[in-house]
Amino acid sequence: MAGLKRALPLRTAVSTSAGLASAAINFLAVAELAGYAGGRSGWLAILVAGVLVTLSASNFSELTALYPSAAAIRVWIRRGASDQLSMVASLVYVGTVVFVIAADAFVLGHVFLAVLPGVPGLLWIALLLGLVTLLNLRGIKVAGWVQDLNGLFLLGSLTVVSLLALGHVPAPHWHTAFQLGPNWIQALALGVFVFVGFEWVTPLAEEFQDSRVIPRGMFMALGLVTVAFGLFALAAQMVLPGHGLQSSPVPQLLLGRAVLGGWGFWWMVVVSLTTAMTTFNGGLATASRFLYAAARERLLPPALSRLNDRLVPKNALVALAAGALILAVVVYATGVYTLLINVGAAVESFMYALAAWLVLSLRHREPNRPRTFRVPGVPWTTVLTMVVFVGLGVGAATTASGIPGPVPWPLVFVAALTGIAWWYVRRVVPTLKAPTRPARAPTGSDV
Amino acid sequence: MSALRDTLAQFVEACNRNQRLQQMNHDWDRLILVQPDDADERHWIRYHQGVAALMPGEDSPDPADLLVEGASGVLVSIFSGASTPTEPYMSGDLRVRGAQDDVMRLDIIALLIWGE
Repeated sequence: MAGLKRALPLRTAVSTSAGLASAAINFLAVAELAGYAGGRSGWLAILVAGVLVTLSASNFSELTALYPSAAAIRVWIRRGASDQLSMVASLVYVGTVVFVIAADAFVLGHVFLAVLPGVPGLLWIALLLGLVTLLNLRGIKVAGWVQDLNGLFLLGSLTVVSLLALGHVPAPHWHTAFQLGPNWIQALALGVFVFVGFEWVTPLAEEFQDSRVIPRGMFMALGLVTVAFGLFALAAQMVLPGHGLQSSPVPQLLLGRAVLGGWGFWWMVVVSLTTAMTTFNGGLATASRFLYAAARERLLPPALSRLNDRLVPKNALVALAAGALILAVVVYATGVYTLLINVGAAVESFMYALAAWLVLSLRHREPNRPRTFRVPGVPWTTVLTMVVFVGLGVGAATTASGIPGPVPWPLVFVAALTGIAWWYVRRVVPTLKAPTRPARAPTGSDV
Repeated sequence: MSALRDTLAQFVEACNRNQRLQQMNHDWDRLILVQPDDADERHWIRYHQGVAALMPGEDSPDPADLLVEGASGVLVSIFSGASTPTEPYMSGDLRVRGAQDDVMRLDIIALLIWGE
């Protein structure tokens, strides 16, 4: 294999995976799952979810070892299943990125509201989302080491603050850390959300000299995320009085204040802001390039492949930012952020189940293609992963979303999203892909 | 001369004829290795100050910035403009290793030469 002049190190695989999983909305996901866990055992739901997600990480590791590509799931599903399913899943997946950006915007707005109560949170959301979009349009990139540092700053900060908090917990309280409530499985289903995005490091596979770095990076990142958010769940449930964890949109600020007073409050403000900004930046940059590629292959309208003079896919970027802003405004105005958490957890769980199935399918379809990583215990481990994540996906999709009434809105939302994507792929894509000219000849046409 | 090398020579010429491309790539100094996986060939393209050159021989003293791999037919198809790089890339028939921005730049080069 020929060597590359520049290759990313293991450190970047770990920090990218951990950083993408660590969105600011995770704090509210922890609060929501803690409400279902019973006692103070939210940490246990995160720990078990982390172990289960590790099973899924091994599937992603084999898939990326088989086809290391920035197109990732688009390639794997196309090879392992069909082109149509690949297109539908890719569109739904990009939708999830927009949800996470909107959900982080909700947290960001409330953090600013806690700091400056006189200024509407929506104004900050619009300003900061606009700023990140503008920087991206200008082609200004956050340096890799800044992103590396930011992911580890969040996890390190959470671990330290949580350990300091737990140091003050009286001994009689500790037995409640193991009390499981009747809805603990729902807590486990929502626990998957804490890890959403860990696998988005796989599109970087082409930038590593050795594709085995990706599995190592994902496994290490999952360990870090499990420890940091598990400790946060335990500390927040132990320290915050009554239902403080569930009733506040900024539980991380409450924990920081409870442990270190004003310093702790501001520390967690900085953590929340840098995390949300990283989510905005990483989400918009990655998803806009996916839209560009999808438009180039006529899965999306060609207008989305237009570039500005800095080679940034401007229309794709603006469309994503506008979509995220509209969704953020709706969520902020209605307060139904739990819908996004539940939908995100459900979509990811179904995607993890699909990844397990793809491993089986590609072992059958392309048995001789080299793989630098193989999932141990196939087919049993992959079948187990499929069953578990389909179950958790259904659990997350049928969990109450904050909207009154008996309708399982997350399930309706996931079904509608998938249905629209399926309709689009069946009806609209064929017209986009229809040949418009007989042959390609060199041109000086503008892009 | 193999069909692939012939195609690459024409591709390099098309790059150098396109003024906008030369302007866009004036500070993009990269070494690209094109390697079919069904033939024992290696071709090097050097981009320097906006000018592309197909290097003689199959070896280079420097490591590549970008490695482009696929079946000869696929490589000929994309470097001749018969198909966009995106389609075989999305199906896994074309593999490109290197920084994501450079991978995207290759696609943009094809876009500028042959349009959508």
